[in-house]
Amino acid sequence: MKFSSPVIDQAVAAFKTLPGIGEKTALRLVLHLLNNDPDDVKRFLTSIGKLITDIQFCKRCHNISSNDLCNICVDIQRNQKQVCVVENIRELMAIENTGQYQGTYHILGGLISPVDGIGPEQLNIDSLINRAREFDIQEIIMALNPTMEGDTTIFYISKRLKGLAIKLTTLARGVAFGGELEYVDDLTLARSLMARLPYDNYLSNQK
Amino acid sequence: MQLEFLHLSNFKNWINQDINLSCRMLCLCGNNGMGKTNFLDAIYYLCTGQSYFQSQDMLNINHHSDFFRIEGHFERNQTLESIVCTYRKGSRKQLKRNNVLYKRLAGHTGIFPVVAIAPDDMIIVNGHSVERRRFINFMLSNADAAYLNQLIAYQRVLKHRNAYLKDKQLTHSAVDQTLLDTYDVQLIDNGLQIFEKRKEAIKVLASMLMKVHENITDSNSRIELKLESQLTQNDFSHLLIDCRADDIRLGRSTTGIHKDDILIFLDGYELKKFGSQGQKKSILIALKLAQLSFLELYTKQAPLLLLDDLFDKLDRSRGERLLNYICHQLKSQVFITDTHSRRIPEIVHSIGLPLQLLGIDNGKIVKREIIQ
Repeated sequence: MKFSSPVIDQAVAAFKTLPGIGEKTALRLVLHLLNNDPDDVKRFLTSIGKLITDIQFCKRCHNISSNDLCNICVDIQRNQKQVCVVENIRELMAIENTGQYQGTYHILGGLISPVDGIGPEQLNIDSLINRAREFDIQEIIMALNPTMEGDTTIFYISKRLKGLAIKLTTLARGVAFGGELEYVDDLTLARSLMARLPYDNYLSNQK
Repeated sequence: MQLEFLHLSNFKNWINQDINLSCRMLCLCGNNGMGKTNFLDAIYYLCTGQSYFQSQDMLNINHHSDFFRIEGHFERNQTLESIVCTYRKGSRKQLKRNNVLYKRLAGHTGIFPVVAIAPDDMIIVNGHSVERRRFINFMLSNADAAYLNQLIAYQRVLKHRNAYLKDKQLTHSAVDQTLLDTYDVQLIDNGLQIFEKRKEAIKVLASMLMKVHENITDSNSRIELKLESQLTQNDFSHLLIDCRADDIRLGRSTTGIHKDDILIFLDGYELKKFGSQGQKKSILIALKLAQLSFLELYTKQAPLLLLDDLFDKLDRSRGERLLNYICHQLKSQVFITDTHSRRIPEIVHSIGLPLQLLGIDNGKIVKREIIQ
């Protein structure tokens, strides 16, 4: 598409870099901003600009934060001896939304996958190991995707943590809540059977 | 299990053809380049979701079209099942069983077992070890769904391990031994299970092979199969430790079940090195028919048998013995191609089985005849 002004050209090109935005949507957004009250547009821009100036990453857990340490890492109400390892911020938010977790997090920034050019050194693994040593962590919960790359990452971290007295756990894998057994795939069902729970335990989890 | 109806559209030179198949023995006759092999390949597609001859689906589309479609109706365990395979340029190949789309092609493996024998299969005897691994992997994946999953997992770990080693070799940077330890554990986990299954399968296959070979050649030569694997003599975890320095230097994984081979011995001599063309051909056919018996044993279905150009490198008396074995000892439905229109019908007639003869000319069936 050809636009009447190079300024519009640039603005459309900028919007197109966002996920899920094509040329037509980009143009619609640009024209919408053009027709808007200039003050509103300025406010819009300042809020985006603040992403760069005011947001940083937590020095301890790599979560987004407005200070050196994020809200979760400074919250003394939370169990600072418990760390939940997640792949990225979206997964942290998913776990936060359950309202069931009162510990802290550690964001890896990906999974070990040399085929995609990601080795352990590209991830926040060293900082996790240092953190485990320095802060007397008691439990590390691995909340990673149940894929081969996820398993590799868990296994690798467990090897690096060897010798430290830390309880290492992973999320339970099995039949989904509200799912029906006949529709569960064989592999999942087999694993659920192997890692079955005592019934007493099951009841106490329901409360 | 029997194929009762086949429809082809735009599959190679088959523009549009419906055909009812009513016999256990079928013979496809026609001159070279008329579409006999393509007909067999279409059946192979229905059973496996892929071609036996081409690695690219695209090349199986008719030149004047942008898609192909194959439909087959099978009688399997006394019920009628339909399989449809469609491929359109630029989109994903689709395989449907009774109108339900498969999410993964692997889900279809082993349900409609099939064995094909074609002239180019001599590569299994003469070629590199990868051809024989492909042979055993095909057989075991069809017989045992867990094997296929273990193989896929093993290959995925191997791919990551190799990518990591290659990257470190190119950038001359330090290798993280802990990461290699991690991959090694995953390789051992899947590799040992694959190794044990291969070892067991080859034992079973070897005894079947002896019997088939005796039946089709009337010789009492001793044939042995041996799994040649680094894991036979050594513990896999020790091997990985011993080879680690080499792996790092070469930038790839040098030990594991991806290096396995199957050696074939005829009266104590290695067939690949000492066998004549005729001996190799008979043993190859016997090996494939043993594979068929193996699949029948584990899938509880009589696999379809596709014989492309049966008389290639076989004299008439060998051919007769072979057909005799197929007619009397097997339950499979058999599709045979030949350029002669009388040779196979005569032999099958003398054995006393009804045969459906299909005359093929340029992607069309021009003659259909049932010879009682």
